[in-house]
Amino acid sequence: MEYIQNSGVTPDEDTFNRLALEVFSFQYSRIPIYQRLCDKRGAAPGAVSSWRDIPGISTEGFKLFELFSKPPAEAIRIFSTSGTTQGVKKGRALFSDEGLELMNVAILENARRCLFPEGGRYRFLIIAPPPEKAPHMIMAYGMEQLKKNYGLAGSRFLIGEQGFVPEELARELRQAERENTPVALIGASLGFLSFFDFCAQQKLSFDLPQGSRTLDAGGYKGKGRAIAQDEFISLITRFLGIPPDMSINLLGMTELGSQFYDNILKNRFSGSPGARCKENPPWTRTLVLDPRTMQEVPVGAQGVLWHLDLTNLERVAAIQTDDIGRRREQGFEILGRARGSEARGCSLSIEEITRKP
Amino acid sequence: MKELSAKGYYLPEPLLVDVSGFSYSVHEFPELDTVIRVEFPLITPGFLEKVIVFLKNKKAYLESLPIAAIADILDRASENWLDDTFPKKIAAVEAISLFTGFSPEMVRESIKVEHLSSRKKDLLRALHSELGDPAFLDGFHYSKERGLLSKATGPELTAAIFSSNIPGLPHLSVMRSFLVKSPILGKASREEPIFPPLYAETLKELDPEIGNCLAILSWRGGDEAIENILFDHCGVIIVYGSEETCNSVSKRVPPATRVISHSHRVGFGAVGREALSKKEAPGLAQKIAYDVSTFDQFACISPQVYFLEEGGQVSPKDFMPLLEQAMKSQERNIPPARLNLEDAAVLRHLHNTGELKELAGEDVVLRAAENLTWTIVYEPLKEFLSSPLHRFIRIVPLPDLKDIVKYLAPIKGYMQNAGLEVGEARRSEFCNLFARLGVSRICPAGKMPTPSMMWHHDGLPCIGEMVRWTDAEMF
Repeated sequence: MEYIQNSGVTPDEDTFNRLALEVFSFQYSRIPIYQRLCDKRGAAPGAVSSWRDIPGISTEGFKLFELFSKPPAEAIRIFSTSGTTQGVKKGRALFSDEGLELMNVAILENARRCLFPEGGRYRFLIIAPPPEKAPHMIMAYGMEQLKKNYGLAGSRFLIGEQGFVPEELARELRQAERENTPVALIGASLGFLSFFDFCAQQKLSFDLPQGSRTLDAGGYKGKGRAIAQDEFISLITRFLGIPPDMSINLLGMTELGSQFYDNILKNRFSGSPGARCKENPPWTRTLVLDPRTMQEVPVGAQGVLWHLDLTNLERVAAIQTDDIGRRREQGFEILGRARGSEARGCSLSIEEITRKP
Repeated sequence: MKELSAKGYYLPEPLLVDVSGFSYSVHEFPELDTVIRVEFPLITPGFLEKVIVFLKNKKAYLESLPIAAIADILDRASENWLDDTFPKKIAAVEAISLFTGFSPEMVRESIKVEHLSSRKKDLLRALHSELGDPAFLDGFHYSKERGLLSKATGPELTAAIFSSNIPGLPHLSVMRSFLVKSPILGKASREEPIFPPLYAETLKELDPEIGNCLAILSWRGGDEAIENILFDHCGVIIVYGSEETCNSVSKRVPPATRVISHSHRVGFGAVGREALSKKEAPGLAQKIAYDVSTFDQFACISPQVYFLEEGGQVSPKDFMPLLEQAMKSQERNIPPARLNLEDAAVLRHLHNTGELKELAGEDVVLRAAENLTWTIVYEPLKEFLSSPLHRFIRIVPLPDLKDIVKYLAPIKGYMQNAGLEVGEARRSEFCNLFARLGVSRICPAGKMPTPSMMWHHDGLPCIGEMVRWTDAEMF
């Protein structure tokens, strides 16, 4: 925790490596399935000297097992993945109260660095259900923490019993315009898209007060649509009057206590150059690996993402995803999830057969 | 960097002056240090109409040739393509391997498999099988069964939409069309525009006038301005592609036009305990590995799951080491396809998942090449799961092979090919079951990639569907 709070000041590779190996060793000894995986790969703690060589457990592991290093009774909170396909088991992430506290510190520190680098308080308008309505949704939990710590009066969640009501958001935005209160509009990427559809239909647009910003998470694919990130950002500018570098995307995973933010808002205030990409907070690392060889790809090339997150102290810190990303000088970009050879050749995928129109 | 160029089209000589211009697509393969530039003629509605009129006029020439002469020309074309020193084949193998990712050995194997079954005797047998007698194509011919004279006539023009998945396959549509004396206009896939023009050139070299009876062009699939003109003029349209593509074509053709669709299908294998003897098992493993490895599973006839019955001398689980050895030897014989990033990511994810299940003590065994080039998974699945392809086969143990119906019933109508290994006593039981489920071909293990010209592809008499009959009663 101390490392997280100080890491902005003293990012230190040696300390990180030492902590990472300690965490690894702890998890190896506490989580039997992880131990077997490491042994099979010949990567038990004694054989690993760099964080880069810590075996990542597949995200599938969170669906198959309870990956928890503490006695089950200590798990006071469980978050689960959305589970896109019916019949597919959901991934579960277990948290003790200590684990939640560690995640809270990471959430706030991350937001301080990447979302509110200039400080201040904002009116939070959140396109997500409140945590009490969605207790297993990690995004709702995280956004509640942000609202508690950076929110002005009048901040609120916008997905309720009726689902998302775009008229309500439009009213809130008009009010913020009138009161000249900067807004932090945060929530599900697809929720933003449905709001923009509404705006286009009603011929609405807003010019939100200076200092307003957006944070979206969850990705731009779903419900039969898929757009590119730059298109999404141009919609933000067009409908909300928020400049591109005040609009950022966040990659969050239920399996991880930490999130990865676009660096562009942070860069705007620090004056750093550099194109938009996800930058790791100092207590995490991400590698972009070629799935054929599991070696790191060069800058600019694509591969699958491997994350190491020290806040996952009580689960597994090193995670192998099937997300495809591109390695960048300052970090990485996420491009989407691998979908496979579905419907390639004339071999038919069963998914295609059973998909309802 | 090595630079190659290729023509992505074929036109009869007299039509070349009507081409208003060319476009080029450049495909780079940095890992292979090669770039290939493909030339395509610009296609306007006016130009397409000229091509159509020209081809339709050539119907008379095809009608004037005896069917035996047409079969001769097709036979000689296949003979050329079976010869590894045939220059067009050498060029095709290199370029198709670049485009499709198949290894050159696999492209050669695929072309071999396709053309071995396309010899004169095969063509004439196929005509006998589907029409009763090839002589019905040459003129009015007495039919004993009908007690009258009949003639079978193919369409004025056939259109074919080719896919890219199986190297050498487009020749089949050209052969079918010529066997019913119909000129053909083929649309090459942009993913593999190499083979169809080279095959057309081969025919032209064997008979310059038959070279005027076909054209190969390419345009963006679904371009209605172009396709609707073509569809309006064809008697028959042969479509290879996804269900979506096939449906989209069917919706747009005039009611009198026949559409012969070959959309995505799956294959599977079924092995009874009587075939799992200690003596036979190693050979069976080789056969299954050949079924799985050929075409790297990209064919509708490739197996995606092999069901093995328990209770034989060799259990399904004990069969795994034998299959592992066999997969390795297949890999040495015919190297696997290049893996793109996305396919590799899926395979790696499945490997990681299988590894975890195995480590957790679940009844799962995963054996695979470290670099993902082949994968065998033993898993008592609850339902049929399709393979991510690239030589990824699931071995599903069944206490009783009859239980297979539970897995197949939900995908009824989507199965193409079954590799079946059971004793004589149970053969008809399973053949009947598979027939009811819409399987269009049943063969022994090891023969899945090599159907004959006789096969009712997709369950249809593909040549028979192309002709219309005229019966004359007064003679």
